[in-house]
Amino acid sequence: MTRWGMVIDLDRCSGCQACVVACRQENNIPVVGREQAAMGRAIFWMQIIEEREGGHNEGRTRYLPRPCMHCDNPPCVKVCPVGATYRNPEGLVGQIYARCIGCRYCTAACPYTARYFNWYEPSWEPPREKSLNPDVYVRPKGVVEKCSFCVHRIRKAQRKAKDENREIEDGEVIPACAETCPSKAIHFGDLDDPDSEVSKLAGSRRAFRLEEFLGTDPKVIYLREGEWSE
Amino acid sequence: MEIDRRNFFKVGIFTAGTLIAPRLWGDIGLETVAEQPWEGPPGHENEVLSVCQMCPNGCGIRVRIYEGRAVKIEGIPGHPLNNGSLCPRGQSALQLLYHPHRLAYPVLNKGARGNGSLQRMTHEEAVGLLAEKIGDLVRRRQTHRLVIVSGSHSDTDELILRRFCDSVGTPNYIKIESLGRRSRSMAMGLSQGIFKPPSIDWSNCNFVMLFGSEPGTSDISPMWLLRGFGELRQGRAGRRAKIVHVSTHFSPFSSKVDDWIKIKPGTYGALALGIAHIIISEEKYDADFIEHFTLGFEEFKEVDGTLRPGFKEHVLNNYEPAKVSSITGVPEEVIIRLADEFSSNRPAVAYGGDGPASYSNAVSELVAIHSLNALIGSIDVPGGVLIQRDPPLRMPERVSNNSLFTHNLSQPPVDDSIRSSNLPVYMAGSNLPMRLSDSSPYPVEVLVLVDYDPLEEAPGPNYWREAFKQIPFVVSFCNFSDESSRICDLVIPPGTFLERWDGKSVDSSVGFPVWGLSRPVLETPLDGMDPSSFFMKLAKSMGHQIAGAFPWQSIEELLKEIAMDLNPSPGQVNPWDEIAAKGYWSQSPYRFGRQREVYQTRGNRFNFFMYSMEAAASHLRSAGYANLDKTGTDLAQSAFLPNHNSAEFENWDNRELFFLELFGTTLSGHGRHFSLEGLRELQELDLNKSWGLWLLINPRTASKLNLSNNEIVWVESNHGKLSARVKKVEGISEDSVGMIFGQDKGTEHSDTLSNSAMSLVGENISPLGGGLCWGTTKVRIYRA
Repeated sequence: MTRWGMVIDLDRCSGCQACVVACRQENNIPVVGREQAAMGRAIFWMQIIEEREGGHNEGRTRYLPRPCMHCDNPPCVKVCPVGATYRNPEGLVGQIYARCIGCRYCTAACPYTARYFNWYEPSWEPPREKSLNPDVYVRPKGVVEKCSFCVHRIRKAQRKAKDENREIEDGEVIPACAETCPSKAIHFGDLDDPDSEVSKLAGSRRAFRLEEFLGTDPKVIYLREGEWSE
Repeated sequence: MEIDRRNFFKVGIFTAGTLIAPRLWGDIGLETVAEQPWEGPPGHENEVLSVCQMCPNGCGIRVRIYEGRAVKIEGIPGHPLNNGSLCPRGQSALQLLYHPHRLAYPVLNKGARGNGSLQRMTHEEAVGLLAEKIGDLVRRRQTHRLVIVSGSHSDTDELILRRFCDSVGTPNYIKIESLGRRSRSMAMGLSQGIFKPPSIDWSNCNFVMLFGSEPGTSDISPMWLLRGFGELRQGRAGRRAKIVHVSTHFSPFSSKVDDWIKIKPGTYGALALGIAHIIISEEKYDADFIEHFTLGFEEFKEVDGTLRPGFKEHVLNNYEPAKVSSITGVPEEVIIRLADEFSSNRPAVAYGGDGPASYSNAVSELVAIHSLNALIGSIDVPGGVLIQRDPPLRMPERVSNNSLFTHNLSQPPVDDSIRSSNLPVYMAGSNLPMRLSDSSPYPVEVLVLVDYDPLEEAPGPNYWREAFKQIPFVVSFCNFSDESSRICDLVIPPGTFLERWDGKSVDSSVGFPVWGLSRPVLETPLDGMDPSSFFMKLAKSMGHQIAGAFPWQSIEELLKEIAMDLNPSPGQVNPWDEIAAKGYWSQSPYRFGRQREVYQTRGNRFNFFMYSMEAAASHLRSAGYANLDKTGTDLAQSAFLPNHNSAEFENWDNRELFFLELFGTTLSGHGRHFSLEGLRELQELDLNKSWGLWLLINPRTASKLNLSNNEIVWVESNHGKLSARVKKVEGISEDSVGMIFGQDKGTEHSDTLSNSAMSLVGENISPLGGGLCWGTTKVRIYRA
């Protein structure tokens, strides 16, 4: 069985935020506006997180693209009282919007702050709605949403492979963030396939995962900055 | 609640249900049933290839069309410039296409500008109205009183608008280039005779020194620089290049590089020449390259006996590290280290970006930086500076000899520029809006703005407001009601680049020639007529030679003619179909070793001694330009070598004022598309916010002024003042404050006056090159 995972090379990442814009366009994430953004209610399935070390111009500020970690042991799933969030056999942590009651337990439980609540009915002033991606649901007010690893792209690729009577190939599924990344910092594939690019990169001595001590077993692996891999 | 038998069972069943239900749902596989509709909705889907024009560089794009709607943009895989990727601005282009505030039809302002009643009209009626206005100039033989100012990124607009001006008989086609581009082009022109910014071969480079250059803010394509960044880091097995960033402030990009060097404003060239001093004194330069490919490294005599000074002696005598350190604020040991690393990690490249280009000494600073590349032989070699080759387009012949009024065409242009065909110098001498408002050298009667909003984008918006008052008829081609169009007579929506035909040569980046074909992505176009189609229609309606200069029935037909010689496959007669199927034409790899193509200077060598600068200086003096000392136009021979001349700042001596540093980011660029809400909602790295206008200030400066975060302050210069919120940022120097281009520029604030930080800047033009110097302003900060 495929176990989807992502590798983000922080040495390649320039912090340009192309992944963030591409994700918002691909996944129909609405603009919440100036006031709501000021209250921290803007939604980012992919977000650049700043991490400061020491004084600003003496030390460094690191920029870290943060999608959902699609944990193998996801804390969000455990706290959902209605089963709206789940981990599927491919390791994807999904969200059933129609079942979500908006209690936001999952949002509080996620140590990576990857979950967002829809405070208002999303709106696209005409003709903005024309650019909505037909493959992705628009979420209603009162539900929680997050990165899906572009699951619609995974399903499309799987369907194509099935139609052509073949196995899905490594590199065939590319999430929107990885596709647009100018410096090719984001890689995606099957972590259970030892020959896949992500498996090889995940074995790098630069590899680490966020908050590993929590035992969440995230499937987003980062590669440290500052040295050549191997 | 009373616990009776009924209630006991109710509570028990509810509790058990809550505990068991999620597990039960999982067991019966409800989650897969409830997943999103993976099969995707049924509907017609296709993909259209085109060219991104969110910046001038020309990345290849493919637009996903679903049921006639454009729903996503990606890069074209394998495209030489962007290879399937796109920067955040390119990803945002659909927000521009489907912007709710786009103008739907041309509007004529009847009555007082800004207050009159608006009359809706069709594009055909607008063509007729403009034909009438220009026809009146033709009847009175005053066609030079038509001025077209264009900020369009389109190559086709450039061709058509210039051709229209030539055929009508006006010298006043004025192209507004992106900030810093003119100075960067001039630096290359003076030293190599190629008037375009340098390209860089990132994938083979081992050491990069970026002087005030960042992705997204510099002239070099953001995609090319970002792609190069990844390549330099982890793109080559076992080779990780070192990236050094020299700048006046610590930016998000500074934290991503290996070495950040802080420098005083306006002193980049001095640092470059200090590094050159060490390389020369320790004899670490490339002697072979110097001998075969450069001119003026050593002192030499002309045939007539004139003694020319050499770069070597000049640098050794004037730029010793201790002196350079006191000018730049960069410690001596750092200068020595940079020289050592730069010369011993070849191929290495030094590149000057927006930082040096923003000061009054821009051209000489950029020449000084580029001279480092010549010193270690990093020109026209793998991993070095390349020259962007142009595609062999079959351009239509110029019509200046067949102009309606040839004598009008030779009138002095209103921007006071010297455009001499035998002098490789373009020089805009003085302030365009002031000359327009003074009716100097003659009154302008029709002003056409194409994709340019001077009240937002240009310095000194008040001068432009005055200029508008003096001009009887002002037209603006713009998609939104912007600051300038609100006080125009006629506003014409040109549509977006996603709705038009266009041909685009990639700007300085990959080196080898690439030509992209842009085409309408929607079957049913939205409202608008692109400037090229509009002016072609206008020309045809005017008759005379003007109509004759535009024999094509459509822009598509013109492009087919232009692309005739671009053969994707040898022996192919008509390349059009293949280019259309691929989306672009290119001719790789880059051709090294063509000395005559790379150095179009005297001796076909890199000119340390810049003959063309000497010629320009003499020409300028004879044309009556007086204050040119900062560009090296005095008579001293050493002035024509790479030099550091002090930058000039307004109110330099006033220590209570702060240097105003205006900079772009990868999201905002130079501010043009920052009105897109999707971009504005993203957190500006380092700032954590984008909405609103922010003043970046050093925490120590803030505490001296007793200011705290989020407090509203006035920022005031000689040219204007505006309010902004304080954001303390360590990376800003204590004697500077920073603002980001384009912040608070937004079509949704249509009732507010211009709030662009550019309004604080004076119209300070570099005499050599004519580039705008936007870093020369000092400002006062006080609590609002």
